[in-house]
Amino acid sequence: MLCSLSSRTRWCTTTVVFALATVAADTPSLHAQAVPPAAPIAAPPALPQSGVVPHDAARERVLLAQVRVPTGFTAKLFAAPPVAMYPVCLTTAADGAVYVCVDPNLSLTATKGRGRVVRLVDSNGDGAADTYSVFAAMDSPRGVAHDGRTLYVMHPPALTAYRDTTGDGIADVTEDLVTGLGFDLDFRGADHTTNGITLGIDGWLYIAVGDYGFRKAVGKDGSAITHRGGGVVRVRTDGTGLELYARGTRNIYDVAVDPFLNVFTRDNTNDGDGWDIRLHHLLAGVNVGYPALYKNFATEHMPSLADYGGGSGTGGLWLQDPRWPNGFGNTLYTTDWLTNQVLRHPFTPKGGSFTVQQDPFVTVPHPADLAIDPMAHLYVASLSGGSYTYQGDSVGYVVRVTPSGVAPARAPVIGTSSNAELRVLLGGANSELRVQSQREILRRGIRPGVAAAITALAQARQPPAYARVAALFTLEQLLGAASHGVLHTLSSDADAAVRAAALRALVDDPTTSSLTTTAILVARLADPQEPVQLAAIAALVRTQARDAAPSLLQLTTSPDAAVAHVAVNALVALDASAACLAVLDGTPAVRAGALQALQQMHSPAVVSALIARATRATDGVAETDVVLTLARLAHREATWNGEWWGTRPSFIGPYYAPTRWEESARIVPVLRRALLSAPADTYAALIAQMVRLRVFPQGASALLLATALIPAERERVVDLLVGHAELPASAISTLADLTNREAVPPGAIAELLAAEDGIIGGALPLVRGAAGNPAVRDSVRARLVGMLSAVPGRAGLDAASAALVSVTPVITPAGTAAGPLEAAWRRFVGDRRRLQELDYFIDASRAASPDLRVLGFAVLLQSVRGGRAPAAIADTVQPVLHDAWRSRAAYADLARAVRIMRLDAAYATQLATPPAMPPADAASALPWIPLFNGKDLKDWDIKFTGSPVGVNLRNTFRVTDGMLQVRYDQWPTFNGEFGHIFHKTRASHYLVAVEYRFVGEQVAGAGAGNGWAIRNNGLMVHAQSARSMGLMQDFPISLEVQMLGGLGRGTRTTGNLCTPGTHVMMHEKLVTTHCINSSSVTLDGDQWVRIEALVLGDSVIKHIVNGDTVLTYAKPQMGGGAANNTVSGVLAAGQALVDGFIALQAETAPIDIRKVEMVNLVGCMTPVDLNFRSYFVKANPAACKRR
Amino acid sequence: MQAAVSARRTVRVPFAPQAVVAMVVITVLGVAAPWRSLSAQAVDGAKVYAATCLACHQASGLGLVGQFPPLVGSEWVIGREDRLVLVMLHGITGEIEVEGETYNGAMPPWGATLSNDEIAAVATYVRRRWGNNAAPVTIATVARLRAAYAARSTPWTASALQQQLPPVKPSP
Repeated sequence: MLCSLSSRTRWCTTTVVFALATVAADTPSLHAQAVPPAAPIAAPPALPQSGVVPHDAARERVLLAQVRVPTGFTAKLFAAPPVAMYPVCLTTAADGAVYVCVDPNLSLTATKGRGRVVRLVDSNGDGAADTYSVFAAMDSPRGVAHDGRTLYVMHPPALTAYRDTTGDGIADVTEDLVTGLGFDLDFRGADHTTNGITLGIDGWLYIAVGDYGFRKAVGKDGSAITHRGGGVVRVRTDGTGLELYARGTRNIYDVAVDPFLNVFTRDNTNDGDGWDIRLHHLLAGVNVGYPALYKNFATEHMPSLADYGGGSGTGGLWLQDPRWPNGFGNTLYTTDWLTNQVLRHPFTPKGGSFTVQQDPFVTVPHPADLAIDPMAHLYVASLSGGSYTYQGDSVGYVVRVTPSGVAPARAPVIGTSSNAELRVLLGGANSELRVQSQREILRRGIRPGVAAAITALAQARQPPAYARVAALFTLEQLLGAASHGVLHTLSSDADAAVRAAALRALVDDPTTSSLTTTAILVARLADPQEPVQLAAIAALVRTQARDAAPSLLQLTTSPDAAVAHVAVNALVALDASAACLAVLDGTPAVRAGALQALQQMHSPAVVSALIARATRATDGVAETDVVLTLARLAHREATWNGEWWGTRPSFIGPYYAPTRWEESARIVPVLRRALLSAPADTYAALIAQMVRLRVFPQGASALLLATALIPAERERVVDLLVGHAELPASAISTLADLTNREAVPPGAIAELLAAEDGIIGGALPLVRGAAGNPAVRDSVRARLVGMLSAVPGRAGLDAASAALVSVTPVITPAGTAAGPLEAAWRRFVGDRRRLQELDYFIDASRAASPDLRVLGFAVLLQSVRGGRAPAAIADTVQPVLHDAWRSRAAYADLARAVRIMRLDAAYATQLATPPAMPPADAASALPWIPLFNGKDLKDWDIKFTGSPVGVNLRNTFRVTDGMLQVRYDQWPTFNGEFGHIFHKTRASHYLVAVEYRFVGEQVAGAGAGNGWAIRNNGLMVHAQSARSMGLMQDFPISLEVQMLGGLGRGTRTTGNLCTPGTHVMMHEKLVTTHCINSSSVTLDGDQWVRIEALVLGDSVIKHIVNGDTVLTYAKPQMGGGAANNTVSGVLAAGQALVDGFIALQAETAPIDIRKVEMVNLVGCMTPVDLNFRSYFVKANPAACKRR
Repeated sequence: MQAAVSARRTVRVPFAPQAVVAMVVITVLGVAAPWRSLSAQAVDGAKVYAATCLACHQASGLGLVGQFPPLVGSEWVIGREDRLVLVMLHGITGEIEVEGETYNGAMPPWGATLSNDEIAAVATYVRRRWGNNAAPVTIATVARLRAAYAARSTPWTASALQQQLPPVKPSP
């Protein structure tokens, strides 16, 4: 029983008892200090095997102050950490000892070697434990039940009997009763696993199984079962008879069993998917509907007793004690971990089940379990301060609640009680003592007079039914078949509870159940009381009495939901297909019950019979219910591969994972015929039913209906999709074709695609198209965007981004409701998966599209939101944002992203200070010297690979319309002849600017290998001279300020650095990669770009694009590759580059250059000199004009 | 049916504190004592938080990654007080964007288990803790909202709350 809030890996627990204690004990002004315990989180300290329970009175007072009990009850703190910490389950023994499960892992931590069960004894009866012993150690104790010297412990995946044969309070014999019932900590934390156990008066251990289920549970007798999902399993105390008792629960933590063996559990919510805190009544063979029935097939599962909304169901207990006040002493209690309550449920019988209420009883932080002892004390395990993981040793405590005024009593010593005393206890009003005395009677075996006395108790009229039922189950277990005579008699007793119990007991032991004739059980199907009918149905299943099916069929029409449900399930369990088929011509009600059973019988015979009926010549009236039964049988539940279905599994139903089976191929053509022959007025209803039954993909309705009226189209679409629970990949090409049909609305195919779990093979283009199609409903587009973003890798990111840039949200105040598309955009941006993809979004922030830049910035802003990002992320992202805030090109997009993300307050300073004035103003103040005169190339040297200096290969460089142009119109092909044009000036400190635009196509014959060179040229600085290059040299030793044009898609920054024969230092590290991207935005098309380089000798170099500094580095030096075929000795690795030439590239891309100009930064730096200029950075005293 | 039960419980504490004390009493060492003072100021938001909110939202107020949203800096906490109070009273379910991240879970209603002064105390606590600095929530505000939305029996969705209680326009 642990809590669980359900979602994800929920299960309860851990943090703050200690802090709470501190807080409460200190002054109120310190309340802000309610933080986790200061103690370091480490492994729990080793607890001595046994000893005195330490009590810290002050602290325990504080803990007890957390507990509220109603008037008339008293609470005492029984035990607290370190002995009773993390109490996830507990039980009591007949002698008053309390066994507490300690599991510091709670639900999410998975550290082995921490769990144990501690035995606590209150020797002086003052309500506080005095001594303890560590009874046994195991991982993940989740459920406990006591039986003489044995403690049964459910610690997934095993149910183990721990026996203390020496009486020292420490188990010395261990026996596994069931293995494989759940999973161990190697798989995951003990979450959604197997939990609480309760020993019934029938000698069965009832076990709460969380909805992971179990792959293969094996009992002591070798019986093996498997189950996907939650339920209740039961097994005898010797490990035999293992069986699934009820199913369809979610993450349950405990079971309560009443004196008549009704099983109850408080289930857990799936946090908003429609399954809230449900209180179930679990009869043998029921399915309560999780996950495949509760939403769309609710009439097919046993209805729950109540739905309590949010919470976290944990413990359950049927509490019976005569000293408890009226209304409190014989009813169900449950605990809710989340709402901090122990709840009392007043019951009223109603037909086969009950009506139930819920009243708060005790308020206590995070209750996990509860148990009643023979002295009328209720023990409640609190996980106060807990959460979901181990968080130190101060979590939890056990509190004892007792009706005020109950006189202290000594526990009866069961082991030494006389047989007569035991018999009194067996008939007594304390539920624990009834079970414990029965166990002792059974241990002693057949003794003189005992059987007769117990028989008398069972048969007497005066004792209450619970006592007689305890007696008859004792008799059955003690005498076996010899008890049947009495049980037969009791099966027609005046008391319905006794009749029902007698039927149950008669067939309890499979080795003797055949002695009970079907006739006796069938007679009881007509009992006036539904609980007896239910017992008779269960008994017929247990005795495999298939010949009783006709009688069972009558009960499928019962107005009592429990009886009808159990009857249908019984027919399925008995595989009573013949009887069901035989009544298809009977009354409509019985026929409906029969079909409900038949639809769960996946056998060839059933399919054949139903097909024969569905296709037989009739007067034209199709037997729609038979067709729909076949539709249900078209799939079956897939075999479970052990995969965890998560906290929110598909609820579509009727199968969690529909899969085809051997008979599908025979069924589907029948369905097809029914669909094609359906008149228009019934077609829609038929489609709706078949979609619901998974004969079609979930989103198929719109397309099927859109084509309903054109027979050929209807046939085409039906044939495409019928029999497919999911959209088949084979349908994609046809869908692509249908997309272009006028008759098919674009929304129809979009809905088909959007209803799938993901994008199936080949559907990416269709999904992409539909996601970006404004004609498609926003909610459908939003879902498609979600699917796109789940596609792994770049393809998914590209596709999702492409759809999202058309739906960038408008700027609204925080707290404004978002439509589906805005929500999709925000969901994408905020998804933590983006944190693994930040490089992509850094690129996006530099894309050509402003909306893509906004998306990129939004992701980056989100990644460092609140200042809580890990250092690795902050170190990556903050410099990008820092650059962007100073970038004229990016500022507006970043500011927009900030406002969309409602981070205005966090970035108020940046929003208030946009980058400074446009570059032209500042630049024009400088004395720019044109290097290109707009007329000719007389100050320039040309050098092509393979040609000597001065050869302008194929007239590549030319001056036209005042521009320096690179053209390849005379090139038949390209063989690596890269060209460079060098200005004759050597310079060391200067600012150089080039204004360029890319035009036209890459040189013919460049080939795929030169794809990198498309719209790619460069401004080389600190270049070697043209004359020092080798004849075959490709690139000059230089620093290339790359001029790179956008490609109309993706990010391609300009002003990047490439380093032929050179290296630089960045962030004080030598960078040897060939190219380093700048922080510029991508500049598509033929727009003019002004690119500048500030070159300061061998110190610092900056690249500037349209006024934005986009790259800075230092200490340029020779070294590395990418300048091939240099003249020997020219490339001196490690030698600083203090000066050089300026060159422009012809690197296969045609380009126009309208301006090449520079400002020399070397000159007279004597302030009083006439030649002094304030912008000089390097002094040349010779330039001074002395006065 | 169940809603009626809840509604009945909801009004017990705020309007009948004497009855509460009479009804909910804890006995320590045999001496009956009120489990808490009648004075609203004495309700400690930190204690309510620790007992009620902390398991999910954590002591840090940062929630649990991907499961429970943070309260630190959350618009839902430091924005309109009526939204915060209504979320506490009736719970909230479904998708909700908190600080840029979309969560999809369920918070249960606390209107039935927490009194007006407890809700006011814990709402004030989360609005002023961990660097949050929003105005306190008064008991009167909680009482007013509880009464105004007494008919509500189901949890809110984020969009319903946002539509019914849109953001307050900042004063010019």
